[in-house]
Amino acid sequence: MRLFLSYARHDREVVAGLVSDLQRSGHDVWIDREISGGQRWWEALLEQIRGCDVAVLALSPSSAVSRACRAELAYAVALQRPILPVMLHDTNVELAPNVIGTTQIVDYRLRSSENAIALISALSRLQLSPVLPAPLPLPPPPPITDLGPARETLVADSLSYAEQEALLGEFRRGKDEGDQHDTLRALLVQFRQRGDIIESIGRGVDALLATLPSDNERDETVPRSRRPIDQRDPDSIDRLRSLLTHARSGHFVPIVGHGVNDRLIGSPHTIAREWSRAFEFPMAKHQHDALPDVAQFIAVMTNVETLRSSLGEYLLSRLRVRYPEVGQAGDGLLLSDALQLAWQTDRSSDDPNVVLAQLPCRIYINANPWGLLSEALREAGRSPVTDVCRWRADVYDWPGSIFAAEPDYVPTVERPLVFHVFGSLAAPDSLVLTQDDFDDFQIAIAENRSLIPAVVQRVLANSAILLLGFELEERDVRVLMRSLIGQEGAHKMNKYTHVAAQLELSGAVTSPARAQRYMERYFAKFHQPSIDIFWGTVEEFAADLAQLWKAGR
Amino acid sequence: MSVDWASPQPQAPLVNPYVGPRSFAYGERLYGRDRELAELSDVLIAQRIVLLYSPSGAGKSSLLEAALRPKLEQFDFQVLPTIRVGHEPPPSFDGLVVRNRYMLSTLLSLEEGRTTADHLSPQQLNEIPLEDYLTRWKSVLPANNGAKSQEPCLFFDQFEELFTLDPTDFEQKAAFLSEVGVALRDRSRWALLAMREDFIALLDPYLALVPKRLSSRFRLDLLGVEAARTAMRLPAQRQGVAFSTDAANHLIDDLRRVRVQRGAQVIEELGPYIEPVQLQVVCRQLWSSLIP
Repeated sequence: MRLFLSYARHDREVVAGLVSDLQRSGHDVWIDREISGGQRWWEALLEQIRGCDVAVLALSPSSAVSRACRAELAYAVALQRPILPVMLHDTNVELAPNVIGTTQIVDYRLRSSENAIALISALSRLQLSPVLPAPLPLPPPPPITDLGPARETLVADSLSYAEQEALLGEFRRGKDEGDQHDTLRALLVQFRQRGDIIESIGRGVDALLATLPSDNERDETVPRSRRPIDQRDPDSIDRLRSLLTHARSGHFVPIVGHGVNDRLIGSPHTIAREWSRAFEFPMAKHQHDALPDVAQFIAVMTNVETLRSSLGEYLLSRLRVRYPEVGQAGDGLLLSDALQLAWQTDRSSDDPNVVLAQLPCRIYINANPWGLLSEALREAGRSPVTDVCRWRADVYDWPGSIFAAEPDYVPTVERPLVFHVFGSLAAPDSLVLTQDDFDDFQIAIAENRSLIPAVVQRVLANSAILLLGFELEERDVRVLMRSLIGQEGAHKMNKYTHVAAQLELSGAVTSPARAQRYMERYFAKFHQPSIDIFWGTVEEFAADLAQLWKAGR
Repeated sequence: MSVDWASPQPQAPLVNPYVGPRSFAYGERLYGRDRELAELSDVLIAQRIVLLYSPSGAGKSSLLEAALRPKLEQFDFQVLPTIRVGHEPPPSFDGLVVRNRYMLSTLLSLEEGRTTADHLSPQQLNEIPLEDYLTRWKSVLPANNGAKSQEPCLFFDQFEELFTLDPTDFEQKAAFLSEVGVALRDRSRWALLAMREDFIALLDPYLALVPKRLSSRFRLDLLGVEAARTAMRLPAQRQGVAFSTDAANHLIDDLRRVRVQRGAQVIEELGPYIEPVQLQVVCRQLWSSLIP
């Protein structure tokens, strides 16, 4: 039986159990996993309602008031689809759409075998009506709360108390629509950052923000639909193949950015936003999600130690909240261990660290301070050796280098070098965090090339490179380009294919298409080598790479 | 001191594997310098223009010819004939007013890599700027390297000759280095300049003439004890002749004895380094006296 499942985003964890039970009893369940609203998403969803045998409503206080659920239900009724309400949480049925009142509700508040059997038998008792009415009823419009007026009010030069209060009220109502939390959060943050926000309203905004699910939760529970590899254009696939050919011949260096770990700890933008709230960062709004800017502020107003410890505490608390395994692990848990634990429990089938660890590279450049890539290499049966860049001029006690301990060390596939260019957790002085850090790093490298091991210099002048998990408009990748990749001897790089995987630019960009062209031009024009940009997520890219790698062997 | 014969004896007559007082040539195997070779070639490939300096007798020329040249060829470089700036022009140049002695010497060195038929006339060679010569060299290159593109690499050896021959001709030196600098603006050309370290400071007035001001530098030291042991034992071993450890250590200690001032006394101590030239001379003699 083809089932359409209507549910509120808020209930997705319980719903996952329901879906799995229905699937195990042989039903074909369609469930909407897209986050973004919009016309095309809505049309695809309506198409599923038209094609289903039964519309299942996951009943809860959230779904009872969800505009989307109501619209879906109304459309299913108009199409004469049988409706099966399943109670997930105690719900005041009075609040639910009228049609529910007349229908038998399956109790599923407890996920037990008795309830599952009751559910299956209720399904089997339903009268199916395979024929759609003709003519088809008019499809309902997309159920998006109109936040447009609020958005416009927000940009006014000044807002009176009454206007601010009214706005907060609108946002509170908007919150009940689970489908637009992302938009709402952005608007609330914008609201909070107004210079004229009144103290009590500000507290109201904070309270409302705190009730929204956190930024990256969607990444773990609702995987983005993956673009299958055959939808990439043939040129792109050829370039990936050529990259893998270079990997086989030992001329391939992956350069790994934050994106490979965002799933666990959130993006630097999230960290920056949290910090700018916590430390009351006073600068222009666009700087609030720039980590080097916010970190600079904290380092100046407090000190470097506070900056480092608050980064550690923030990440640790985030991991504790998101991963019960980490939460239960006691107070003495180190950040590095917490990260590893979280990574062990939550990783996608094509985890970028794991995919990279399968490739026979001798050198990995890690722009992250975490050790997950090294861990993935160890899992792959290899013995990685790590080293950091000792760029900070006023530090004299660095941890020993492999090149000093073992002067004859040459990186091999079995003992690859993982070079933490922007520092490592194990050597806090090596961390590059603030704007000044990035400047000092560049100056240090320019003054003293030997801060980069000779073998790393050479491979960066004579290999194919992959920039994975960077946002190409950010500071870190530009610094890498200027100080490491665009070396004097880069002429030989022309022999190779170079690739950067880049997330689609955020909605804050005024003209995404032109911005994309600008990025592509930047990486083709001013630098040898010219780097091809792949637009998409790190996971998509890693999955494609893994697939081609397996196929090529 | 004893050298032990290993068995079985090879059929071919044994060749003395130690080169004596001359430097190693292309095709000969240099021992004890693997680490330096790896780092120097890495830095040169990445930084394009490198100044190699070392104490006298550390074996720069050997490293260049027997180790770095083949290594760079593996990386698809075309290493041009090693350049000397101190050659005197042959008699065919008699009567010619030499434009720049250092440049003429450079071009004469490079001409050795081309067939006589391709040689430029003395007049032409005297006048052609290095930049033009290299462009021309590229265009007359035989297609024997297949489809692979090979970047040219210039080796300047014993570059201290720029300062030892004539301390008065500041303009000539400046003009020469400026011409070298112009030719090296092309980022598809690589260059290694090798010189004795006691002359390094004399380069200072000319640094601005060369791209990156010769900021990438590499120091080659004399041989350490471990490397000297390798340089001593491995060549013999390859011929089936084993140096005993005692013999090698004894010899190395003899070679690294230095005089040290302690208070009013001068005493002999074991130093950390061995001069490779001395090692080669001693081993070569030892070999000829022990092996018929």
